[in-house]
Amino acid sequence: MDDFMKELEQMGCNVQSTLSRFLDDRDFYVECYTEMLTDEGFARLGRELQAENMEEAFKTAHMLKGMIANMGLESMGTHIGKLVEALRTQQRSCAELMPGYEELMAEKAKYDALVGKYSL
Amino acid sequence: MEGKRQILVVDDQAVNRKILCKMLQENYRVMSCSNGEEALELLKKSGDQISAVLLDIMMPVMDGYEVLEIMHKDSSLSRIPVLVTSQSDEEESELKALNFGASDFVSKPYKKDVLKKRLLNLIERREATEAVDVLERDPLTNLYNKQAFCHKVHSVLHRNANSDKRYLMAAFDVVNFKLINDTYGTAEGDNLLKFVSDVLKRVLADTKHYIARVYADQFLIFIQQGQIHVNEFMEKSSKLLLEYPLDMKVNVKLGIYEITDPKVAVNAMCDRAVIAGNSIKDNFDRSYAYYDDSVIEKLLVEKQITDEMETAIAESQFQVYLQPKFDIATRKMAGAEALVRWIHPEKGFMSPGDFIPVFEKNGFITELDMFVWERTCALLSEWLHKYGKCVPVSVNVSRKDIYKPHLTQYFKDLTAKYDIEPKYLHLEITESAYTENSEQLIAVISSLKDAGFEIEMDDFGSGYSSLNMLSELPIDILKLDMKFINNRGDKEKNQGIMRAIITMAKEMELRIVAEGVEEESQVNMLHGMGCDLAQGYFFAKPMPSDNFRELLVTSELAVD
Repeated sequence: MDDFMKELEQMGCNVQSTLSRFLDDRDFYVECYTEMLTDEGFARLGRELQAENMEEAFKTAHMLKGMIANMGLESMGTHIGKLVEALRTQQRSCAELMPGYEELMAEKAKYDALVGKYSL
Repeated sequence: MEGKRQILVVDDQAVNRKILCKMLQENYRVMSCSNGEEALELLKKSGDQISAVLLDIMMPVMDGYEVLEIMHKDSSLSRIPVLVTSQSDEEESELKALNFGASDFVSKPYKKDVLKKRLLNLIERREATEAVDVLERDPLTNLYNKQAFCHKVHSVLHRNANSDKRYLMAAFDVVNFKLINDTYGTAEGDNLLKFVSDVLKRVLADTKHYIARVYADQFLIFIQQGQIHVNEFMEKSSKLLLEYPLDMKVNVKLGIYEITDPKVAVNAMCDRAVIAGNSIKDNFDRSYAYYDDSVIEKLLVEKQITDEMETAIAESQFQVYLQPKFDIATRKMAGAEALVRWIHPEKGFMSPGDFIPVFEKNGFITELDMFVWERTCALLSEWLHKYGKCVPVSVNVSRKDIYKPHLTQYFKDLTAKYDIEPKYLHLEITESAYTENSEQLIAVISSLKDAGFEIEMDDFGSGYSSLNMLSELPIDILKLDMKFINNRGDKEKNQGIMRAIITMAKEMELRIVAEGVEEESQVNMLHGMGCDLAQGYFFAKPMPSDNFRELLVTSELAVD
């Protein structure tokens, strides 16, 4: 396991089961990893929450949740999972969910940092 | 299918799509697209090559539920299994997807082995079902084939052997299907069969039933008695068939066998329903018939006639009778018509009305006609060469004879063999031959006429006469049956029509023979109308050839 993978594991990712989803093809995982981090859904979710568009925000969050789960990034998964549930039940306003979104993005930043660190 | 099976991945999220494609490409050829609309387009184009669909539910443009719904309604797509990709904590949407027709689901994050196994299960299950379908179904209509149908019927009858339930076996068919196939081509014929199958399904929609297509246009229906009202069923289906875009009306018949003894072989039940349907094939007034004793009786008679016809010809049970024709003006004998009689050793005199239609159906009529032609030529030859006296004799040329190759040469050889001039042999054709294949008939008649034979049109006005026919066919003589006047409504009006026909025939230089003349008053009327010849009981009944020869020898003739 290379350093990047080791660091992912330390951040809570079950590397073994995740990589098996990618047929143990590390390069393919990395390709998807960078693609995921640049997915425009992250920024869109922020805009939708700001615009109080709960339904669209739910769809976007839902999409991100599936993608993050597939990438095995559980620390981010916890944040997005909470957002999805909150948006599904619609018991809290979008404004109230903004802190949750920011936490998600802060968590994402940690993963973004790895791209430069390991020249992915 | 050769090589790897093909899978369609539908997901709006590129990374998810990538993962799925990567996971599956080892075992499948994978196509992918990013929304429901694209997916449907692809499915419609090449759905028959796709073994399964992996479908995300939440997508822009068209979501997964909508895709499922559309696929479910389209019979060509509903067979494709769909594996819905959901998220682990969403039982509600999984259930909804299943209700919309999804076959199974997998949740994100994907577990490679679980996903692959579920997918393979779905595909194999579907392929197994399809294999059974191929064995059980008629590929054109997707109705049961005969074997599967009989098997299902047998099971139902067996299961209900001790119950009070009564069932019907019905045979549904398109009477003029062969004609439609011939006229519009088999592709159109196939379309019609598919349409008929849909009509049957629609009309029987609220009942429990089995339908099969057993061959060509023959459909079988098995249903519990009382579930349909036969009259209503025929009305509804005929009405729906009118919607089929064709210039020709689609005529259908239903034969019904009420299953009284469930132990009878299912195959035999099918036969009985078909037989009942066939019994009214030529009957325009009836659209359905039950299998009962009269149908059996009729069939038995037909079978007996068929069984005995060869013997009858070998043992000279058939005899040629002659009915003289007279010149109306001079009341002198001018000709005769050869009529066949069957004198059965046990049953005695058989009615031509009974056996001729059977022979026309089974093709034996040609052999019988040839017998009459030969016998007639022999008689003509005998009169001419022994007594030096002769009148022309007309013989029947059946519809089927027209298709006999080298018919003209056959007649030439025959008259040569007996050393008689062709003019003594008049050939009677019926107008129905014209409606069947006018071109062929015109060609045959012209060639016979060129060879010197005289052509008579028998029974003019009894069927679908067309004035076209009169101008197109090079005939010499028109035969009018007195039934023409007697049988139909307004006698005076009919006389008017007859007079008009005679006048027209004269204009066309055709001679007229009136048949079935029974009274002096008719003779006078015909004379007044300008009719030349007459034949009928008033003058003479058909008689054996010996009697006719005597009459011929002792009579003054209207011809030389």
